Amino acid sequence: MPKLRINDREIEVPEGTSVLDAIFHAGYDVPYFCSERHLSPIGACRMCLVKVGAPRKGKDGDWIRDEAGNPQIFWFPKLMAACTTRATEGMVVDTLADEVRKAQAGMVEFHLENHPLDCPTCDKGGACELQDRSYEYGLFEKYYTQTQNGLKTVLYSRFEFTKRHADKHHKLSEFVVLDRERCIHCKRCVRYFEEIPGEEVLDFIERGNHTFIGSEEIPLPAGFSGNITDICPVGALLDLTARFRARNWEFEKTPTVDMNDAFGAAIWVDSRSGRIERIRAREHPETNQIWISDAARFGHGWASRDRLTEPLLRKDGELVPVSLAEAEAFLAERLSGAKGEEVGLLLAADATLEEGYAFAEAARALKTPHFGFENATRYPVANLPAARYEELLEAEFALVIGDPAEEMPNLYLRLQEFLKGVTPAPRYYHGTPIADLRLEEHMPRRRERLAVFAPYPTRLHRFAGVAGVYPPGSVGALVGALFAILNGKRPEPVPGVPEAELRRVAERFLAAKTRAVVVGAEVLEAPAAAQAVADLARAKGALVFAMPPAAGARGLEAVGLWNPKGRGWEEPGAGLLLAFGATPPERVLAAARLRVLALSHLDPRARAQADLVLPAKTFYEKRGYTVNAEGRVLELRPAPTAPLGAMDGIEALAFWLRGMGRKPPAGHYREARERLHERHKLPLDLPEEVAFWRPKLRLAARPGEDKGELFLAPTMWRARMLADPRVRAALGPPRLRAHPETARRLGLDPGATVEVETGYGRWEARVELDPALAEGALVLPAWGRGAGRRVAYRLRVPAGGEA
Amino acid sequence: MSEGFIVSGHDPRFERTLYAHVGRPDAHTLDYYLGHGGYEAARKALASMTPDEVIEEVKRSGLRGRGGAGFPTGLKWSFMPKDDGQQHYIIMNADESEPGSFKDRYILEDDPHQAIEGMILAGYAIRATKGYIYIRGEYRRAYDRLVAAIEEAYARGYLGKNLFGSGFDFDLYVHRGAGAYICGEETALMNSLEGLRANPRLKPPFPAQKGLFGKPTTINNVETIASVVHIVARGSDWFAQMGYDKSKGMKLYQVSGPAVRPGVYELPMGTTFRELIYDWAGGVREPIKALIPGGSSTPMLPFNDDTLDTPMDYEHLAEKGSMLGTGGVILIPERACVVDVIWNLVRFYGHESCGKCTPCREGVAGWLVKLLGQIERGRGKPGDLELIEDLLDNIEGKSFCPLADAAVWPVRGALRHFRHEFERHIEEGRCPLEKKGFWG
Repeated sequence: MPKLRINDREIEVPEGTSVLDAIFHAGYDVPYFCSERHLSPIGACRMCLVKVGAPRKGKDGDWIRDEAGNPQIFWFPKLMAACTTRATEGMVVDTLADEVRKAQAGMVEFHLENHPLDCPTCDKGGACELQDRSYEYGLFEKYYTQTQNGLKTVLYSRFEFTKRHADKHHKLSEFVVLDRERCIHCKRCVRYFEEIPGEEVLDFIERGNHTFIGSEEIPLPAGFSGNITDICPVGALLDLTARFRARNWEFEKTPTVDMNDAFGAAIWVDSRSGRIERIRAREHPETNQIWISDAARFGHGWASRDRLTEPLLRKDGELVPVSLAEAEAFLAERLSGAKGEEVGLLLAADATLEEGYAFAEAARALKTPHFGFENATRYPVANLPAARYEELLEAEFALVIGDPAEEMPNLYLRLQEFLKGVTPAPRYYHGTPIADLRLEEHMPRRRERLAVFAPYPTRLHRFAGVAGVYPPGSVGALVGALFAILNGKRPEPVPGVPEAELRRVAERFLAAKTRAVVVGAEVLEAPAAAQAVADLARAKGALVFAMPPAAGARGLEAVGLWNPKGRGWEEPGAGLLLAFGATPPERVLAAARLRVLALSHLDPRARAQADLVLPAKTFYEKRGYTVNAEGRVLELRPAPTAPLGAMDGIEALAFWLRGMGRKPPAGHYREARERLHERHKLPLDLPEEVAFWRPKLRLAARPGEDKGELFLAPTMWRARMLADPRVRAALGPPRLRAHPETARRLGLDPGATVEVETGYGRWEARVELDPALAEGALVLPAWGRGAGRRVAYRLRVPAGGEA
Repeated sequence: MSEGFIVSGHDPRFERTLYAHVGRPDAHTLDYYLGHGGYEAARKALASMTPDEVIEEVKRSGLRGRGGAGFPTGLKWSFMPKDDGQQHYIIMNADESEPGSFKDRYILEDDPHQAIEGMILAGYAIRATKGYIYIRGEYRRAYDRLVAAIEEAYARGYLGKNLFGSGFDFDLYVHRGAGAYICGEETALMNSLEGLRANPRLKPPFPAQKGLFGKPTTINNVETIASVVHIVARGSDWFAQMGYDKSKGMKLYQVSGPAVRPGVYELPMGTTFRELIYDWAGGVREPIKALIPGGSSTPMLPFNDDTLDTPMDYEHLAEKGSMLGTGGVILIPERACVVDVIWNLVRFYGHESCGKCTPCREGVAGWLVKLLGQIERGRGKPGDLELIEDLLDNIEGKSFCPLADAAVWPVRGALRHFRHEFERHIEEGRCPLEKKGFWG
């Protein structure tokens, strides 16, 4: 723990700390552009130059001392870049010296030399690091003043030549635009792609003053590209979904949690005039750090378009707007004398704990067997132990069965960190280290620490020491064989995966001191396999990271919304149906005689089948708590974008129950929260770093097995996001991937457009041959519905199409 | 003349070694090389010396890096980890791109086996079994001859497995650069070798800890490595008796510009400019205004008696406010315009800036070039020189790698000795000299 002095303050920092972090830790400031949390320090921008001195040891091994007997400080001949200098014992740092100020002002001047200064039309204006640093460290009147008409004025730059001109609007993808004039060459985006998602996409092209950011891959691969708009210190990389929508100070900024997947990534919802305009990553060091997926960031367009603002009642076959009082009267009439067990209460996957609690309590009071939540898996994820994401970094070996990049994109980034062998960073007074000297460019990935299996090649496959593709439906066989080997038994053969590969995995698994098992939706849909994972975790001591397809699964199951008897969301049976947040499958609706849906948006199925539609809030607008995949309790805060009268699940349920003449478990959010807390003793008063809720549960799994042939592959994108034309354009038509043999057998031509119908919807998909798939495999993106399941399907050639 | 240090090429004790065979017919062939004592030093070292003894011998000789920075070679080699079980690499930096330098070229063209033998010795000393020669892309003939020489050496067992029966394996690879000056910077060179963009890397970790492909690496100039052959063959005492206190050995000096016989001259360290220019290069063809002592990045000195009597070594030139650099002396004639010369040089450095760090990309490649061009074209304003000096302050010592410094020093030197020419450009609003020289 070196002790050092920053200006006048003595501090002690962990070994390996950069001088930059030491300066911030001591409470002083130093400008920087190229350094960024979680990225390697490179010392390119030269903004953080400071005066550094250190004592030296003499030949006798003791410090060389001055006349007073103190270790003599030898100042480095040049100013040092604080981001790449290691803090050492006895070091003295001066950030306030005149020469330091002059150097910083000089660097600001260099940065502004070719910067267009079009701040008034730049989306970054007001939130721009270059702006801030120019005001703080540029404009150094001692050096840069001029006399004009007898007045002494301050210069921002003495550069009097034409600035460099370059592409102002270079579209990198549907979501990201690059302005090459504004770029200050900090290299954050280039390093981000190489170091965080592990895709070398961007790089500098040309050299010297002509250097610019470019890519061979236009459009950028969708998945993790949006984070570069957050970390760009200037307005060079901008979010196209929010382009020119508002100045930064005009946004209402709501800190909340992304509920598209179960990771629980922290986000900022930037809204203005009741519209969500932009989603940004919010720093949460324990979960998503400063990264979110493209789906979480750019997939918000649906939430602010075509919102339902008033109740719709079916009259003469048409849904027409009615007053809330009329809706209430309608419900009272239709629900009078209804039996409790006829009622079906269904909740969307992104519901909060409070909503889940209210629905579970109501279902219990009504004694109905028909309740549940969307995308519930056969095996309850709450049965599996939960591990903190940071614990993954301490593991020596990870076995992945599934597709983390799509199922829980942020966990994929954590796996990348794991591959680099980076352990959690120390925390300073200013938080995450800005220049973490343990990180380097082009760090080797420790492939031997990772084994990946999935029914199709995933993004993770090329990073894994052992990577296998098995035919959909064989996950049970795979897990069974693997665990047979681990227990020293003879394994049954697994199609597509040689036994030697499995033996290698088992060998490394057993050799590792700490292991992690990451399982996706497909495993959770195979109860025997999921139970084997749970047993393994108990017997061999492995960390388990389960990726349920429903964002709130862990919490909803724990508050009592787990329905082991039937599939609440998917099995028809309920006569009187209330569904909140999403529309249940067609057959469920068709079987009910009263269908009340509380929705934020009217979808075709609701338009065709609903009797009453109530306006609902999206997860961006709800207040409440959720439990993420690691069992952490996270708080959702409402963005001010919900239409007047939009209900959350608690209000919708109360509305329904009042129609039945019953007392709701809670009338509104605060009541639900109080009751929930009374009942389950949630750690709501703890800070999120330590607020875990992991009740020990032994819920019964639902029996059954998928019978279909079409595998629904998990996707980070949800069907509702496709309402945004920008998302549709970026993703293109869904790809129906087939093994060439399979395609031949089914008569599918590559590139042909076919209509695929499953129980979850109808898609016009493009046929793509993929020899990496197992023979017999047919894979379609799930867009968030039924991910990891094998379903029956019907193929049709659409009119005018070719097959 | 036969007592004390050898500091003149006229000293009878001085004998040419590095360039002894340059220019001789068939000097590039293995047969010629073997006929003149070739590979004897390597045989001797591998048979009778331990790697540490080779390093010790080089340390004792006082050899300093000939690529420009002058870092003691033996010390550099001793930084390499010992017996760590990792692959070590030795790299020969033959990306000789500094304007005014052309000494390595003829070693590689006419005496490639000398370089190969040096690589074997250096590789043996630092326990590297693989060596890379990064050769400037434009040196086509040198490349061809080097590749041919390596093939010959492999065929006759001078490279490959179990050299001279010592059990030491050594493989040598040649890589051609693609024309970027920055690749002469050692870490950028390694990036380029690895197939990455040639940006300089962060130091620390230094190449000796983490260099090429993340493994311990040492990188030396061609002349440095060739010198090792003679240090091992003739002993460190022979080497150390040439030159002054801290600048030892022989040096390849180059003369370009209007000299009667421009070229490369092998002379003892500490030879004066007067001896080099008048005795060996045959004098000057026209009146000379200034000279650049060691490749274009070193500050120029006025061409006067004081300069001419300065010994060309690291210390004496540092006293004069300049540097030995690569020993490439450029003569600037009276008829050349200093502003034009400097503009030309800064344009070169601006063009070669890699663009990684701000002061070099924006300061050198952007601003400095434009300001000097403005003065040369007669559009300079009063205050421009002060602005240039302030910019030089903001660039010098603040960049990531020494390339920006290399651009700053010549401007500083010119402003120190020829400020009046800059001022005259600004006052008269034009270049006062008629253009007809090689700088125009």
